[in-house]
Amino acid sequence: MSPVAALMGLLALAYFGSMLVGGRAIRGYGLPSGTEFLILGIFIGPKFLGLLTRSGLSSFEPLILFGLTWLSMTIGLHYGLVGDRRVAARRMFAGLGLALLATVTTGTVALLFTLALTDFGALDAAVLALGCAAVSTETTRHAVRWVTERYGATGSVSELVAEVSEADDLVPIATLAVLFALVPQTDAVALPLPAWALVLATIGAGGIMGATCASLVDIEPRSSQRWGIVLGAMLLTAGTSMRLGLSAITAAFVMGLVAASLMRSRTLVLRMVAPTERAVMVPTLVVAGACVTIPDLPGFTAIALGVLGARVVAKQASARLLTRTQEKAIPRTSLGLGLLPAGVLTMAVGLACALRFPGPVGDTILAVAAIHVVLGEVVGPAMLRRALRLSDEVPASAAATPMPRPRPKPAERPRRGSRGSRGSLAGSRSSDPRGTS
Amino acid sequence: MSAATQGKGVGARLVQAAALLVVLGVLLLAMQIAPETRSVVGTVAGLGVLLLAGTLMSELLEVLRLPHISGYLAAGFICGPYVLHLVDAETVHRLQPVNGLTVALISLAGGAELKVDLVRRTARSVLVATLVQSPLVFFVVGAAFLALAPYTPFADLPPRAIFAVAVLWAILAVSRSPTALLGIFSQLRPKGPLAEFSLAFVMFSNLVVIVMMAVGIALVRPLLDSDASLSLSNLGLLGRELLGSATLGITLGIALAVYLRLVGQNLLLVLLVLGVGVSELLRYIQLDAMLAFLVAGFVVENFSAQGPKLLKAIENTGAVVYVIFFALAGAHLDLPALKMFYPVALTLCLVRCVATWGAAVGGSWFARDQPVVRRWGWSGLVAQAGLALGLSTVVVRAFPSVGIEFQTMAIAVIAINEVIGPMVFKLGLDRAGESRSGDEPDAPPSSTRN
Repeated sequence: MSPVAALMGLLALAYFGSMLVGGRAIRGYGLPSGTEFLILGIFIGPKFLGLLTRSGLSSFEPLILFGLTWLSMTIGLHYGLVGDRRVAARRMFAGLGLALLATVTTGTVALLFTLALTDFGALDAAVLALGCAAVSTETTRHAVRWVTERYGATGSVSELVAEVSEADDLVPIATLAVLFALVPQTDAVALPLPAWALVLATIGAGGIMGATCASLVDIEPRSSQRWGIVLGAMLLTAGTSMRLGLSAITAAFVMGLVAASLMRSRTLVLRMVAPTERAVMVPTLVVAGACVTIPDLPGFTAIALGVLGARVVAKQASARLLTRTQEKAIPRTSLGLGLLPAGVLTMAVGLACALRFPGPVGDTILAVAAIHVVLGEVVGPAMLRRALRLSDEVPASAAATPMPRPRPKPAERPRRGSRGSRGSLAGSRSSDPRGTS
Repeated sequence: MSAATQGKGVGARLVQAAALLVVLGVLLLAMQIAPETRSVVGTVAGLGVLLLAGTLMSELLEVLRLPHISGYLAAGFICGPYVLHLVDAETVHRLQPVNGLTVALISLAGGAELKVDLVRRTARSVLVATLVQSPLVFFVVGAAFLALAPYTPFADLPPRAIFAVAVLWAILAVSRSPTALLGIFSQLRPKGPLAEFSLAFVMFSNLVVIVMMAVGIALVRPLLDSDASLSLSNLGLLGRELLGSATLGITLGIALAVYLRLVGQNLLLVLLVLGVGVSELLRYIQLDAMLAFLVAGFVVENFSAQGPKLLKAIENTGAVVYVIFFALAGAHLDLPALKMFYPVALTLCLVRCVATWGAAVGGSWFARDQPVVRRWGWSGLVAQAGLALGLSTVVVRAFPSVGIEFQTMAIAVIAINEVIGPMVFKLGLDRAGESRSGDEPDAPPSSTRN
């Protein structure tokens, strides 16, 4: 059987399996970041069962590239929004600042460990450090939303964490653009440019296509045609930027961001693409998992542990900085650990690095990303729930019975922008954080 | 013209034209800067430019009242290997698996459109039309082919071989394009006797032409291969293939209906898995994917209450699916082949059109169809696309000695029918007053900024 058929069969299996453990059959036991798909990928990949071989994986490259860039574009489209509500500028800057803190901390540790433990040159060490930093920044909004919605958390801390997790996506994506610009593909491009110009070119490519997309979507009343426009613009952005050796993920993110900023029909487009997020996320995570390998690099364990430790420290510091002005008692250690969940963006960045820098550098970055996702899943949601419960933001009944709240009927849903709904995420874009609806 | 189309003024069209230039310009510039690239990158960019240019071109051609399909074909042709070379031949080849998904979705939609009630209502017309269309087009086009044989690549063959090729060609001429038909349906959402007749007839003629080709190949084999003898064993194989496909289609339909009833979520993912995974599986076990999906769609529509849900989900993917399918077909248009054979190809197309028209008028008269079907019933039967190309591939496999020339000429003829067929059908539906509000906005262009 061809690899395509094998993957599709496995996807179907993974999907129906996840429905059993995360859907409506046995609600309450699903994994918030979709880690089950990542683990499935690792399990069926070349290193374990070998159902997906290296050569088979290479035939999925277009699928992988599509998944990565589509997810990135959707992140760009709703960047700075929690549900339908825009995140305040102050909180955006806070989120970006804390993400930068995590990037710098983990990047520095990765650089020091790499220089000390490997025989990499300066450029390779810098690439590895930047890559590790890029995959160590994110706190996935999926996990945050999963916790707040499932336990019906409402209050200032829930809101703060949700908004910060929404804002921090920009940093790893921007880091990726710098990373790709640092090591240009000189063999493919006839017009060599300095790194800063390549970063600008990445933004330019995304910006032009985003503006084109916005202008077309606004004059197009039919969703059927809008699909062609959005999908086509995204693919063209990705294809063009890859051709120039730029970061397709960054370009697609910029495209989504610019399009969302310029178009009047942003809400319509967001509603249109929202159901695709999971459909794209599942295969991307499975394939990303299958690509994970333990790199052939001396000192890998130390580097991974060092980066993980740096991430924990950075998130602890973030929790303290975030809650500095909060008057009520907040368990900051739990909150810091609650910021650890990483998700599909982390894996996307890791996978992009693995594809661009094949060999020990790329493999290490992807492996570190997978470690963050798996460990974040184990520790993060439980700690975040604990932090919110101890902050009196989780109702006692919900804390005692960890089951999802029934979905409110349309008439019961809190009105957008009403004071009552501000602290709650239940009224946001979807009441199902994993996008299963 | 539809409401949505009428709502677009000159300004909107200028924006679309400018956007088309930007799209083509961006990719051309990227290709200048980085002339060489990995094929996977070419595939992603190629798919993007086909989608975007196809969508925009279909919008711009709406002004001329041309169907969207014409826009997709034009975009594919312009971006393809013979004009701008934004999408090279390798990319076109690499994107062929997308066609598997397309055929699956289109067949599912086609089956779901075939309601038992519709089949009952149109049974008489379809049966009579099939009995008139198939032999008449077969004989007229076959005769024309024999007459034109000196101008074809088969001129040097012995007479009996030319006769055999003419038989195969005549069978090819009987095939219609369900894809083009459903593409037009997706745009115009027509309702009325002409739409019903065209849908039922084209779907049924699919089966007829598959059987005809199997019989034809068995009969002409001794004429093309002196060592071969008349053998109808292929018919047994065909029967098994058809029965197997139908059985699997029923199972698939039941499973789909149960899923829609019990879960009904993530239909995009389910359709993707079905379209790519099951198509691949069917190809592996050598069953006919088109028939299996057609039956599955029919089962869901007629034996469960989930038909509308399925159709809605397919419609959501439809726009993209049709753009890719027809833009790829446009990129695949073989200009050198068309150049080489255009006088013969044009003549054969004209003869087929006239025969189709004559047979449709005659058949409608016998079946006592409504006037609108009598007048425009032929318009939906001109287009040829994927099915005809698939049949030409079958001929290549069965008769390698003449197959390549046969396919090259077939591609030239199918290209012409593929371009003019949708235009003619849209004209027919427009004139019959059956084009509905398929183009109407499903959501108002937003006026408020969020």
